[in-house]
Amino acid sequence: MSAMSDALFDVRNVSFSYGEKDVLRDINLTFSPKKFYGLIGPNGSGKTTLLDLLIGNLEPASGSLSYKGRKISGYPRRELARELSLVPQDFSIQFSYTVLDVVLMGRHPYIPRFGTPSSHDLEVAQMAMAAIGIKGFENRFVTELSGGEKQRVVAARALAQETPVLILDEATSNLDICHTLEIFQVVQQRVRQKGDTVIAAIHDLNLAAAYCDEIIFLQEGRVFSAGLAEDVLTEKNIREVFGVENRVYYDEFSCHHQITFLYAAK
Amino acid sequence: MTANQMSGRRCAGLTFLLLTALLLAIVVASGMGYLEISPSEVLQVLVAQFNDGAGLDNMNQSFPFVVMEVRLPRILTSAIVGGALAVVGVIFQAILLNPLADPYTLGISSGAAFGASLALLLNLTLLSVVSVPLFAFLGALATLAAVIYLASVDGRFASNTLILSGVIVAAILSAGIGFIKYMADEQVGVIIFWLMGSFAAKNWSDVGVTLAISLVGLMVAFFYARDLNIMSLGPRAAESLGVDCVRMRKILLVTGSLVTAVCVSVSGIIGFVGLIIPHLMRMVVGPDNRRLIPTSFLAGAILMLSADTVTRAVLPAEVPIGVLTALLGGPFFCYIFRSRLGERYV
Repeated sequence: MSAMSDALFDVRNVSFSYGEKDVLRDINLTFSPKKFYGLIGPNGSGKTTLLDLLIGNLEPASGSLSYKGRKISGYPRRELARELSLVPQDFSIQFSYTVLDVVLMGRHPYIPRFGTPSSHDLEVAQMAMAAIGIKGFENRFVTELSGGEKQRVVAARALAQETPVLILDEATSNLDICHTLEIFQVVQQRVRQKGDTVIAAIHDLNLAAAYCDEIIFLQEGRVFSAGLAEDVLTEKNIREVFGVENRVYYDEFSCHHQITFLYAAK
Repeated sequence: MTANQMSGRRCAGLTFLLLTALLLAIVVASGMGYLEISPSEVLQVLVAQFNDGAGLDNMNQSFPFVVMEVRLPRILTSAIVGGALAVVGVIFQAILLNPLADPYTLGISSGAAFGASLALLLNLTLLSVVSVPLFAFLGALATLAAVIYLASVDGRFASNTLILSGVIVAAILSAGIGFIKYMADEQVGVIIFWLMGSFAAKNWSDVGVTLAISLVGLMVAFFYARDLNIMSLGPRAAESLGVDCVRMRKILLVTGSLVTAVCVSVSGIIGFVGLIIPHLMRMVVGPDNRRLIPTSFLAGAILMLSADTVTRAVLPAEVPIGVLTALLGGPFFCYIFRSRLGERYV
């Protein structure tokens, strides 16, 4: 029972549907602090919807969802924004804010309505930009950045929000391998050093295997399997859910499991 | 962050400059027209209002009446309407994440005009019992709802689809207005001239109504200014930063429609101000709505007041102000549209 009360998120019998279409069905999960969670599954398996529920952007049709023992819907928005931050997958900004402006938007939940960013807010924003490798971008316009650069600005904005829980929705899908690893390393550091919790929807299974402590495998809106990365990412599970013939082996160079995809077997 | 502080000070300076220019324009415009009155005489008349009319003895006795009862109400109404339409433009652009959104392109002006024409038509036949502003507001709200409904899938809408559905709804409404004109028969002139937009024959109660509603709009917009900045990250990210997007959207869309409706019911359809002014001001002060809202209000007021003064006192015959702004603003819209296309495909 003590494990229960330690849980950060407690998801009980949660279902959600868009109109007629059931997106999530009877989800039961607990998330503990100081861990890196990976959320994997085919397109349309409900990853983004689950993340939106966790962050309070959506409310479950049935079931209950609590954070630190309190219902998520019961939190005032600003308070929740100091607990949970989101790095969304899509980012299109129409107005020419500078990179610093956008990263400082991460401080929004800390600044009073008619206030301006304090020197501390600026410092946090600068540190977030340095961590993500975009120092020196301050005065560039976000409208003039490449897709990958924008994505890193969004990640820096979420870091500047300084929340104990960081939620990433395929945050690195536009990035090259170096910037992808950079973001995963920064985020992993937050878990290891600051004791933050990360929940990341990840398309790349090898990336999930390399960084996640625990993995939640979704299939058609249900939890297919959840647990330690090596227990969930098995040849059988991957074959069954993705329909891809594969081999999973322990890689001595990287010291984690590696998946090699052979062919689509569907 | 010296860059930010610098532009902050510059922005305060610009606001002051715009305010001074507006006051100056009001005084100069009050003197312009068939009866020429010098700025110093206008000031004398204004000062005398607080002085029981003292100090006006050696002046043409019709000057005070011309300034206070004929020109000033019209000048102030045009300035307030110009500022208000510019602020509504800022609001719609921020909330719909589309720099091309404004009451005109979204069809909301047409909706208000349809409601108001209907009220005018009913008044022609049923005595003056129907409230033109109320009908304009209902027309604006119904149009807004229709445009958003047309453009949205699962409660979300793409911003360009929104402009398209605005155009479609506006086309239907203009046919509706045509029908009303047809029904109005011989009295059609009343509706037609009103529709083209005009500040002629405005009185102090028009000034009062537009000022009150514009101040409400301005305050609501300014209250949400920083949330509107966050909104530009997209609704999903904005919600995760603590902004209640659904609520804010509702409040601001209704406020914007209300302000538009009052403007339309006072002065007819005046397009493109809400598009040009925010766009120009964004180039000067940047996209931050806390700066954009007050400066756009002042710049919109100056532009509309100047345009109205040109048509009233400079041109040989009075061109309807709505026609003038559409003639100038239409090509400008094409220019913005074209340059944005360029950005996207280069």
